[in-house]
Amino acid sequence: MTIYPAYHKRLKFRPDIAMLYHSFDDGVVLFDPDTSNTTLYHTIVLWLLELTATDEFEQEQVLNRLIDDYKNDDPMELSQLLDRTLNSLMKLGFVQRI
Amino acid sequence: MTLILSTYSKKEFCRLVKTTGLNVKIGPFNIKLTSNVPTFLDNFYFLYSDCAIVGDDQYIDFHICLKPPSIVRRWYRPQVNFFINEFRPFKPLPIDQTMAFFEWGLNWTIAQQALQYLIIHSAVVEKEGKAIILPGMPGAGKSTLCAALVHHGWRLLSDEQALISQDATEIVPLARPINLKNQSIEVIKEFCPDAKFGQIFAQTSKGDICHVKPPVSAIEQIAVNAQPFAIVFPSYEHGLDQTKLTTMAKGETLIELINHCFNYTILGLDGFKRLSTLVENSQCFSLSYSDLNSAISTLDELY
Repeated sequence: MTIYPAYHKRLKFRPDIAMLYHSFDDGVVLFDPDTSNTTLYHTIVLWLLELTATDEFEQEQVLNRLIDDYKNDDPMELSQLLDRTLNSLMKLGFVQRI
Repeated sequence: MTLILSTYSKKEFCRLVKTTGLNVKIGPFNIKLTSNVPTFLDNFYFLYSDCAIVGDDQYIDFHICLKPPSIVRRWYRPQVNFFINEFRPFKPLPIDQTMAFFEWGLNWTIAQQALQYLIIHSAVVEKEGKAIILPGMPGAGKSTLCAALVHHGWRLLSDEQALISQDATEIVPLARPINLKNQSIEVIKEFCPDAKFGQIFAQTSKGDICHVKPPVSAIEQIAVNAQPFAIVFPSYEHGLDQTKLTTMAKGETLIELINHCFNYTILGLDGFKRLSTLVENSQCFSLSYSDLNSAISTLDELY
């Protein structure tokens, strides 16, 4: 039974993402060239980008990998963080549902 | 040999500015100045006396003209208009504020038109070729701190606008008069006895204003760029016991810095890349201070 809010979304970062972010120790800053909005995200975005920047990915798959990589963190919290982050990235058009 | 403004007698300077106009180099910009407002000519001659004069064969970046709007307004509640390249972007102001109007107008002009630079609303000072950017909202104490620093061994790069080069590895000097407001005028008069002050303009929209003449050394080195070294957000806090320098995370600094940029959205992705590179290559801090000596020592220790 899946206890995490994983929605089996197939997703993809927008293709020009490599040009649109800068990572720092405290987070990843993403830039929207259409609006010039600039947003500071949790470092989880860098983890996501390194894993999936050029490929399609499925939220549940990525979540399992995340829980695996961050063993010391609460899986439910990680799940919620990923969900919030992806929703936000989708809203701003950095991640697209396919 | 470079001809500087004070080579002209004040009488000759006034004649030229009133008739043909005079080309003055201010930072990296060549400005053709025309005006017939006597008090402004006095103030400009004093505050910009060390700036270079540019020949008519040079490209002029901005044509600036300050003149009264009509014959009536020369006598009844006299006013002055600011024209940039024959365009009048602002409503007229009282004629006794012409010098302040010139400074504000030039700030606006540079922010609107000098798109080769990423422009941050900040003071910039330099030592040993390394620059500290001091961004701050009005009232944060950046000009006060800047004036104190440049009269205690630091070079003035700018009081108001940091000009960031295209690859974000250099800051281009724009040494102009330092704009002090209200209580900071007396503070700097006491703290920097060597500083040269212009006239006080009372009751402007920003309160009382007084300009401090840029040190000669800052104008002499106007063509020498500096490398970004640190970004420090100053904040004057009255009665604070101890100066506090706190390291800021870089992501947070970048987001904060965007609020201080004049042309970030105009430059788009290029602006984002420049700002990211600038933050990446700089140490980032916030500085709370109430004592200028202590603030200067704290910044000295960064080197």
